[in-house]
Amino acid sequence: MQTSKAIEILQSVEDKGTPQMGAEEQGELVQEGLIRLIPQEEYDVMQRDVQGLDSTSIRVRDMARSSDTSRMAISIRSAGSAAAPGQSEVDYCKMLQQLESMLLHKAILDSSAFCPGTGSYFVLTADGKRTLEDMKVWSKRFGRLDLKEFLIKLHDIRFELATTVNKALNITRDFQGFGYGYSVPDARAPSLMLAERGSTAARTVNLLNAKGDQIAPRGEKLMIASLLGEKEGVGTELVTRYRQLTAKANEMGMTATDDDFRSAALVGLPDEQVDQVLERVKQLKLSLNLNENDLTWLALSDHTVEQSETRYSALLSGAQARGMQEDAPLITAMAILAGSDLTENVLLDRFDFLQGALQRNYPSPRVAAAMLAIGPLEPEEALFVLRESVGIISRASYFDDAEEVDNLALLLATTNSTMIPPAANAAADQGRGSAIAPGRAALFLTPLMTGAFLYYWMNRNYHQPTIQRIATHPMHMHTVPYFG
Amino acid sequence: MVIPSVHVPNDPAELLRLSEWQGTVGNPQLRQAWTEDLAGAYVPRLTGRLGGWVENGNVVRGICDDNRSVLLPEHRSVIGDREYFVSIKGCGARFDAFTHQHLDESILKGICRDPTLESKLTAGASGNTRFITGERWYGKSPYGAQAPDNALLALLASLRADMNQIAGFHICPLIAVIRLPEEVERIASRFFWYRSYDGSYWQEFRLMPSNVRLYFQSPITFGVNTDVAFSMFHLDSIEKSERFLANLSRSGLAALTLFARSLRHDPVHGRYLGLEFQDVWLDKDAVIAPDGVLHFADLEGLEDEAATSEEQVKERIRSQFFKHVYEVNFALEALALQTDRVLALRRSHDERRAWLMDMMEQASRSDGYVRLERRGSRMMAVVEPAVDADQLTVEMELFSEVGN
Repeated sequence: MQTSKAIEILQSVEDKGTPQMGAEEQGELVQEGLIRLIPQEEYDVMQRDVQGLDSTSIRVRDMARSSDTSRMAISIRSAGSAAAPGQSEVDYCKMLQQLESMLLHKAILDSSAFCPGTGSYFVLTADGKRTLEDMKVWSKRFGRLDLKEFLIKLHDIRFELATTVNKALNITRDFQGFGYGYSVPDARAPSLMLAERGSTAARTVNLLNAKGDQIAPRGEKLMIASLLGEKEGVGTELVTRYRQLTAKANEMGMTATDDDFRSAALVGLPDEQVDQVLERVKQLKLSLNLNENDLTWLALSDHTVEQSETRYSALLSGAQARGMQEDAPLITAMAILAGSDLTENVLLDRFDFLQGALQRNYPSPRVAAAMLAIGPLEPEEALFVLRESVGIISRASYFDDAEEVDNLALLLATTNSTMIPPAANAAADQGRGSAIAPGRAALFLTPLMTGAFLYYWMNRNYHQPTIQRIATHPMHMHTVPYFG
Repeated sequence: MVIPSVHVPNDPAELLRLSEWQGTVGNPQLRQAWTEDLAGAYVPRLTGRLGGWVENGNVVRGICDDNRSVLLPEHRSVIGDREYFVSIKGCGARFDAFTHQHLDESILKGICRDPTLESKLTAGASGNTRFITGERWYGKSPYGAQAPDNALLALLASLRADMNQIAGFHICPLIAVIRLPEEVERIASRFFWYRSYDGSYWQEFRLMPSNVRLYFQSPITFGVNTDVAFSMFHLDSIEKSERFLANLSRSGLAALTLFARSLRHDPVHGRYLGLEFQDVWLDKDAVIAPDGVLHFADLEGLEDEAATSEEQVKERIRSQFFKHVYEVNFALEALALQTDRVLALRRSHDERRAWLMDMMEQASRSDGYVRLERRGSRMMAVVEPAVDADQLTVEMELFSEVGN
């Protein structure tokens, strides 16, 4: 069955309509677990059962109100031992179970649909509901696709994300195993990056040792070491190169500390290209009022200095024309967008949509929205991957503080977006490959780098480390914090 | 299957367990929980040193919980199918009464009125320490311990309950309250900031299924750190979320209708009596069990309130409901939003709220005192008090224009 037909059928069930399908299509949907058939006999039993719902409910209420049943389920014992329940408890529990079963039947009947073509009743399963949503998001990219193939593709996307998180869990444990006092929250983001690239904690620790940072390094040092570890070469040589680049940046009037994200990004490039990038930073600095990280981002793009300047200015004024107030996140976001190869209008549309959708997730969603906007996925698809990432990280308990979840999810989503197959038709990629002449190869705009940059930026500006907070609620002045 | 208790990781706490104290008033229903291993008076180690008690083998390690409570998770009991751990309330304050600083030697020296104790303090105290003081706090309590009337009110509420619930309203029941040794009272009374407390010093032993509060006063609360709470309660499927939601909404509705479900007629005085929340709130004084059942923890705030006419009864039912409904709704909304995040569901606001309404309506089906009814796009709570329901039933709007 084609996905378009599956959407039509499942949507009809969702809307409690009358789905049109044949026995073969019904069989396939049942086999894939997207709908569940309700045999006529079972349907009739449920209908009879539900007729007694109100009277059972009244009996249970009466039991709950009587003094005998309010003493139910009470026996105290040490943990692990068991005590026999009293008769009133048994009766009440039986009635409750009966009531719950009736409520379940009612819910099934309320959501069931009847297909005249096959003469069957059925309901949409949780998988069916999810698949329907999946197909709405991805059908444009995947085009005309067989349902089975579609399900495999979606399974692969989710599996890949979950596998990365599982690997990252192990890498985080490995970091702990070295006994250098790495804090778990600090190790999480680097672990995710290493997991995505198939690298190890040992390699990162080796780099930290070579850099002299092995004892209880903060998150940024771990991140820098992880980035260095991505490059080929011996640890000491990479560190030497990193230090050379830091010194060079300082010589050229830039500010490069011992934890310089830019220098880590440039390690692995020949001198000629490094000079080119730093020179571009210098030139861009003359005309654009941006911080060095933002300038570096632009300098790493495909565009010439003039193109970058023009694109950045056009994007910023375009954003302002759309009513966006200029602030630090917007400036960084526009620099990120300017470095992409999409046209300005397309970028602003994508950015606008994404920042609205991310409003609840981040204190300032602009940088996150820009990162996703320049990615290979359409905005709805990017949100899908982000949403799945939040779910996977939450379910795996790969966080300590709630504020970590969305940042880690963003890192996971941006570093894993390349696994998604390219669009089956050009319409899904509109705006890409614009009039910009292919210049230098986009050496740096890899998903890994976008993720790392983003995390670095968020960490610097908004990420609060795991702290034990005593919340103060603006609405509740009656509460005195601490004193219960 | 027993639902295990859960506590939020927090700073460790060390208390000295004393084998002498001035008196115990216990809850006969929970006599078995007052074990030989637990019975005792628990004081800060510094108080013990000032009193000259020997520590040898008597130091007990627990976990800090808000300012003046310590959890003893190794002391556990099971009521019904739910596990509870012991929490001692009134075993020393951690913080200065007037700033957010941890109590330490310099602060204690500054409030000490006894030169002998002050000299011992210099020798013994260093770093942060919890302490029982004699500052008269919130009118009638010694800061760091508990006042006798508060302790006994909490015990009375527990005695009124069937172990852990009052007609479906779940509580963290007290096992016992004890009066601290005379020497502890003497020492504590010599430390105060402004006003000296001149009563006796008590301590409460209560059972809690978790210390995850709704919004305030624990390092992790359900409203603020919902992601963490979900992880602690292992809510990773729609089935688990729905069971949790059913329990939360059922127990939340029970809290909102406590007056009605505890209503009694007093024929001698010709009035009605029902339980009311006195200066306590669900957002800071209730905890959420790992299965979602809201348990009220600070029981000294539960007291009978009188109503002399039918109209007054109805008014009390209404005011209790509307005073606290925001807190319950806050928890339900947090749960619904987090369910969507954890399960990567793409539900609209309307779909999410429709789900909440369905689940709440189902959960209320087994409640003896409140039922939820849909009236078009509204949902009404029909509250039938425990007595004279024919005359005293009240209808209130729970949701307006939410579902169809």
